Amino acid sequence: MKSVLLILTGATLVLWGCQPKPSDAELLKNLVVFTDKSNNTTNYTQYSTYYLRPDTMNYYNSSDPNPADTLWLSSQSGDFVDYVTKTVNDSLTARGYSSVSRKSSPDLKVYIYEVENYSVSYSYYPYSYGYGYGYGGYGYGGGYTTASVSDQADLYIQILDVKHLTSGKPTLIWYCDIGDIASLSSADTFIRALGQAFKQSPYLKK
Amino acid sequence: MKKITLIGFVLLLGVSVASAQYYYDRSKSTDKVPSGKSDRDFDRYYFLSWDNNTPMSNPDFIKLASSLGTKLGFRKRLNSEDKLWVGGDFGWAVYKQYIPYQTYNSNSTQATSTDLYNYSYNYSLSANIDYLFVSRDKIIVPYAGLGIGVAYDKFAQYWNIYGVSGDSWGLLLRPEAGFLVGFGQNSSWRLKAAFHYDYGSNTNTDFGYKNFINTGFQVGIVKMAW
Repeated sequence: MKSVLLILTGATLVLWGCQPKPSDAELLKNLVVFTDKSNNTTNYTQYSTYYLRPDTMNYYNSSDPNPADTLWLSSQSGDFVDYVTKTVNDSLTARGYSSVSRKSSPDLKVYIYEVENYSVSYSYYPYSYGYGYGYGGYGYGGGYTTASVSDQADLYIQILDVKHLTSGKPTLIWYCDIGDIASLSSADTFIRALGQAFKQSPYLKK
Repeated sequence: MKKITLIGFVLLLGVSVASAQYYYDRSKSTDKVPSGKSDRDFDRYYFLSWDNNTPMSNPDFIKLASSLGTKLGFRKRLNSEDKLWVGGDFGWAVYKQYIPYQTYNSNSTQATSTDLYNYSYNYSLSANIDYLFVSRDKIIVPYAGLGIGVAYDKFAQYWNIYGVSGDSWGLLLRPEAGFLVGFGQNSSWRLKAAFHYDYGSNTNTDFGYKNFINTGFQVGIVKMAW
């Protein structure tokens, strides 16, 4: 009877620890797209022009010992920066806004940047064995080190009102967060997500 | 997972067979010696069942039936009347539901688009009493029973690389009715089929649960012993 209870307890513990989760393939087939218009009173039709550098994004990496705004040029990232800036440009143009140069006093400024939280942590597991008794004995030991890497990144798009400054500062009128792009499963996933950001913001139009 | 369950069940049966041998030897010293299958005086049994459950609480979170469930248990005859049997069950079930990609407007300014994977991990431990309507040496033995115990539910929601979870303990009530079907008269191996209704008082406001109610159908294999 004790053995049976022992086995039932063991089986219980095994099943207790069995908590299946969705696979990575399932979880990563879509990105999370968050948008916020910051203020319900903003009249988006009052704006006509915007400025966006066509070939540049900003990039921040948490592993950088001196985190600073890093320019990420299309020549450094392959097609990624080109694709993002072109899609944002096309989306805003399709909604009635016109792209102008920075010197043409645009109504809006579009700021695109990526933040990557990359970290590596190391753990050292010592082990030692041997024996000792009385006045003697010996022992020796060693250990091993494991590394744990985590990487997570989000793409942010901000649209700032530079026409009506508040205390000399531009006002955020639209904000978008797309993640996690560090674990992207395919380019199509990102393309869909970027399109979704504008699709779920129908108010963003001239 | 299947291997572990199989190994556990084989070990369980091994112990029950060994236990049966022990009691058989001891019976030689008494005046009651089993002379054939019909004379075996089974006074306990162990079972492992596949459990198919349908949740009835909070369908907004999960409403799909789940075939991912197991029940392990044992019963011991309470007295020589052969009608009342008591024992215990351990139940494990996982419910899951996929919520397709859609946009949620959390307030008048914010919108979030994602797909969601809702999971509920349910565990139960109960003390049970069963009433057998006919003698247990019949081929088909209908029974009804009641289980009372504790239930632990863990609710989780996963999306992309993110996830949240919450859990809850509650009181469990489980009426059950079913059959034991032997492979012959007074068979030591039998099949078990039963319906059960589970009420768990588990509450979790974050996930919208005021209780956890489910119905279930279990089919399993039973090893009789004495």
